[in-house]
Amino acid sequence: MTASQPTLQRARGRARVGFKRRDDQTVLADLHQSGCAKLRLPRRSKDAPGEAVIINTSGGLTDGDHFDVTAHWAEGARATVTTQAAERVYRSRGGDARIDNRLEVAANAAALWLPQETILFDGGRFQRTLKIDLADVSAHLLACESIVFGRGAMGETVHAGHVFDRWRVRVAGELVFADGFELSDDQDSPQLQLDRPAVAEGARAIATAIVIAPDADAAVAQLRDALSRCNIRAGVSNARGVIVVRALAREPSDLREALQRLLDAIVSGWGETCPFAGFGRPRVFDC
Amino acid sequence: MRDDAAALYRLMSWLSPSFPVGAYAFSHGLEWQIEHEGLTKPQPMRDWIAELIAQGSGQSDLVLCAAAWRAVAGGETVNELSALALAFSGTAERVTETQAQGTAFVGTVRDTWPDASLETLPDDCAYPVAVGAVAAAHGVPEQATLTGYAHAFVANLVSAAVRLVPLGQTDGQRITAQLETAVDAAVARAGETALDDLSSATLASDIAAMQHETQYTRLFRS
Repeated sequence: MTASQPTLQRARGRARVGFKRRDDQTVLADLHQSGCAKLRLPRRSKDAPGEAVIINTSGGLTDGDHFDVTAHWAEGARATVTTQAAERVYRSRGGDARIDNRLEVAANAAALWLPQETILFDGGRFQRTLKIDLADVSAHLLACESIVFGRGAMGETVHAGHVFDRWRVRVAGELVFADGFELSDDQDSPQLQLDRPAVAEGARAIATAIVIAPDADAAVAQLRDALSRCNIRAGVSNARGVIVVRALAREPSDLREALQRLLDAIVSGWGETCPFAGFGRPRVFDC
Repeated sequence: MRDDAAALYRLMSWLSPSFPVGAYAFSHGLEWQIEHEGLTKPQPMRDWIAELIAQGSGQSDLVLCAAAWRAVAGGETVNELSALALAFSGTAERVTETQAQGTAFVGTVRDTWPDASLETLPDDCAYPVAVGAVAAAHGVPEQATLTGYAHAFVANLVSAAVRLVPLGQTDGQRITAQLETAVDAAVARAGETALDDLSSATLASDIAAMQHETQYTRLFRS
């Protein structure tokens, strides 16, 4: 940032939501929102899993903005946290926008973290960290993050920009999954890097999802089958009990459709032990 | 033996294809990419391996190797580093690849170049962490260790490509020669990268590694 530029008002958003189990239902335990972060709790039937929708009222992120969400699932709680809309990362004047998300999942809880995609505008810069703590092996998780490079409808190419997407997932304190995906524009443009065969084969939309649940091998077979019928390149693997899904698509709409099929396959289950039965698509996905 | 000669002698022994870690059995997803995605020409093969070294699993291995070297040189253990490396592997076969080679590496070095500091290494140590730790324990300089590791990474993939495509031996060695500067740049960057910034951008290679698990006929374990 050069000295001649005025200091801009930076957006700060912070949200905290907690779910707990009461009798056979999941109910809200805790809700806090500040700055440009708002939470909405859609109406649902009494027996359905809980749902919280995060809204960034500033309409998007740019350099210096900071948005963080903490979600907590108490013992036995079942709930989905999603976002109202795709997150947009606007052209930056130099620095990164920061997104820090944290999920805490207690024993026997089922946590779904399904934000809509993050759209990186040309010149956008962001760093995102997703930290997830599962209390023990009885805590279940589905988490997915996806990034779209450029506004597709405008034919935009990301010539400049920066992405750092970081995951750290622990079960009972032990690190079970770590991931870091970075594209910078130090030498080549982000899109040029995505065009490289070993990187993304020209994809403009990418996703990583993980599932932690019983019968991982059966789940892998089911998820592979679901994704094999989509117009994307994807892989699914069971890495030491963590099911890892990677997906690449040229068209963001193809990725969206594939992720919905993935979600449908996960909630439809792969045996009696599937902990995600009863969850549906978040209603915002159908808008 | 003079110190620097001993260091070179050991490093070459440990990273030689004849050191029994079973490297020849791992293609890092190349077998799928060659068989099903048409990666069969020398120049695209060179580019694919270069991408792994510049911004993929080759680069993240170097960051882990450098961190392990520094940890042991500073008198610290590498248990957490090895746990990070395994958690970062991301696919079943990549876990096997790093764990099987790391375990064999530590076991063989313990039997052949014993050193008290090797006793604290985890038994299922991730391979780049094992190499960095052992090299530091034996006084092999950091830059030489990383260059040696990167060379072994490249040479193993070249060897897999020569066997699978098949590529000519000269084509294979041309790839190794052409990646010299890419390896040097990756080694220089690895020492400057914090563990929190450990990253790999080669998603298509990761997917190839996942798809390899379902490959019907295969010669390689990854």
